[in-house]
Amino acid sequence: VPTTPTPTTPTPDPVRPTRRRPGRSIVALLTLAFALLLALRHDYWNWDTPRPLLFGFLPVGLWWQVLLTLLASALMAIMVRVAWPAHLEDQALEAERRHPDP
Amino acid sequence: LLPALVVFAYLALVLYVGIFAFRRSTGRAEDFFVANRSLGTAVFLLSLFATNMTSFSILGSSGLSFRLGIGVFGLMASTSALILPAALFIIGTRLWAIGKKYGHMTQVQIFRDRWEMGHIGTVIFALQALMLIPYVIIGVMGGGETLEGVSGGRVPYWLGGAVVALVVMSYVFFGGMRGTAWVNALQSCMFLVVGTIAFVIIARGIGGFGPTVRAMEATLAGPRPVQSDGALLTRMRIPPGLYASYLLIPLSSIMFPHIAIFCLTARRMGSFRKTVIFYPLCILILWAPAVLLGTVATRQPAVVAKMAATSDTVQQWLDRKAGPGPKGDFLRLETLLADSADPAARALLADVRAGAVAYAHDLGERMATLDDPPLRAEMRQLALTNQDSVMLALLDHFSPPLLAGLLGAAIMACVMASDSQILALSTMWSQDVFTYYGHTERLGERAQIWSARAFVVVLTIVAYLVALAVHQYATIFEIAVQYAFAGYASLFPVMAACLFWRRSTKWGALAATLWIITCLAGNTWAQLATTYAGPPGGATPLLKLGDLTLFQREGTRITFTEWRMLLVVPMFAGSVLLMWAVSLATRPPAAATIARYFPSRGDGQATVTRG
Repeated sequence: VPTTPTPTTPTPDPVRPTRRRPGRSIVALLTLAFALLLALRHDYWNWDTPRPLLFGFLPVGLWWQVLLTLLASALMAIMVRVAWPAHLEDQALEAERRHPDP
Repeated sequence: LLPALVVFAYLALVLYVGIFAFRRSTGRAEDFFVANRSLGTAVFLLSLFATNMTSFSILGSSGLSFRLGIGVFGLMASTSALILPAALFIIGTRLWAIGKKYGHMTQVQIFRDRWEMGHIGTVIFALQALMLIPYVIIGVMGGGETLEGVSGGRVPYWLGGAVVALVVMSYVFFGGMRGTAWVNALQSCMFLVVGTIAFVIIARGIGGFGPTVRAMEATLAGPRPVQSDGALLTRMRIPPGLYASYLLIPLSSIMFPHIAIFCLTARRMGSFRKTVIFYPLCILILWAPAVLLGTVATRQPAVVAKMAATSDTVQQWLDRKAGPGPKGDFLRLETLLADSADPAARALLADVRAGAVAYAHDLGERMATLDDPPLRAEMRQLALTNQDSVMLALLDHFSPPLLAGLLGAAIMACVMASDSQILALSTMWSQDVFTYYGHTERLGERAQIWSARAFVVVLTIVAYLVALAVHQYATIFEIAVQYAFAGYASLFPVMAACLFWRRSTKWGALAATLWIITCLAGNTWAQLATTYAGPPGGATPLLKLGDLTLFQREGTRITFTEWRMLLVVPMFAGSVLLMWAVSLATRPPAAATIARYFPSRGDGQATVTRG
């Protein structure tokens, strides 16, 4: 039996609660990991030698830094996953919703 | 000439993209300056990368590697790969949120609102503009050098610079942020894809990296390893203090107005997610090949000969058809050619004197065939004065003309990052001066946009004229580091205090700003008033405190202490100290203002006003 759709009144967008900030222990751990990578950048023990050569042509002073760059990308992926400041986006979008552009 | 034609075709393409963006514009100020805060993730990542990769990233990095070796990657690239994404994550997301909440488009607007400041903001604007202009000049210089390089000297530097300046000015003028972002995204694709192809082709051309690297390594066994080619495979030529001090330089990235303003263009904060993850990989793809190629180029006599032939000194010598210079002295190269036992060398000199060798490209081809050790050594010295041309010389020698043109266009894509700086400066002018002092309210939004466009034109013309005047005085890398990078890195504590320290005040910001201005002025004075005439790589003390050397003069820069740190170290430390001490000694902004920027959990929207 076909039913007649009942008219509905538009409902306001539900206000999504602001997401939580990342925990302090997570932030501390990530800061430590970041500081470790910065410290490893200063590989003074590799200063005067090209050995060991990676793939037979990449001097250690280069491939070590390339490795750090790859680790930087991995660290950023972890930061995005576990410490994303979603609360900032929620606050900004809520502000925009309340005060849209003319 | 084919490579130059390909580059011209590429320039026409970016011009078309920029003008196409103009047709999508709404005519509103927010659309012109921040693309209506509507950029998606892919355009955001690619455009941000292109914005931050300038001629310095590919011409400067390979050129410095030709001089210093593989350590250049650790010097700037790996540090940037760590610090810039972290800064985007921590500072960039906050800038985006504040821009979205309160409608700000520049850093100074945020400072003015956060610290209740007026004219102090104008002082910060002036400093930012002053430091960004050299960056724009570098773009014009790189454009001129690139076109000159890919055309083998047929398109002179002044004409190449003029063409690039005109193209950039046109699409920024019409397309605003949307045009600039689209062009930048195209440029990123261009230099990542074509650059990778170039790397493979050049690697094959030199017979693989393995034999070259092992031959260079063997020279380390000689009596003076630092001066051997093998030293380029290590960091022997980089003072450890200098290396350490480069850690501060990437902090400048988020303080560059074009990067900070770009953070405001994303549609959603989610656009930052992929950007911070993939940014280090983009740096790796661009920098590692550039550094490796710059390093091994020193073992390619033909490449070194081409670099020597396109150096300013040799160009002038060629223009006057050999003979004594303005001071009556003969070029050492001429003397060596005349005295060489190789008949080809003497024949070459005769042809230069007869005017039969008109272009640097032809001279380079002829010099590449000479196998006289003193001539080779002299060519290497001349090449070092033209280090930024190494990538172009490699392309010229190893690539077929069509590919060399595409690769030249890819380098041009890096060089043309000056578009973002020009747009940023016009945005700052429009928002921080024109609008702040009431002209937009009085004359309307259209007048605001046209004032920004007029600013673009004036700025580009000034940058071009300066690029012509300073071309022969310093390399791209040195100018950028000494002025723009050090200055912006030292402004980082101001931004950090603004976003994270409730107790910070406008007076602290002013004190730090004045400190940076003083340091930059002092550096400029010391650069102009002193010279270094000792052996290469040495230094003369300028200012001592007892036995401790505070500042010393090197060949192209002033350094801090005997560890030869960059001046960014005392500049940054002073900025932190003054921001902290003066803030504590002065009255903070009103509690309501602080509450808007530091909402307690759950009440972030209580006092939001936008506009």
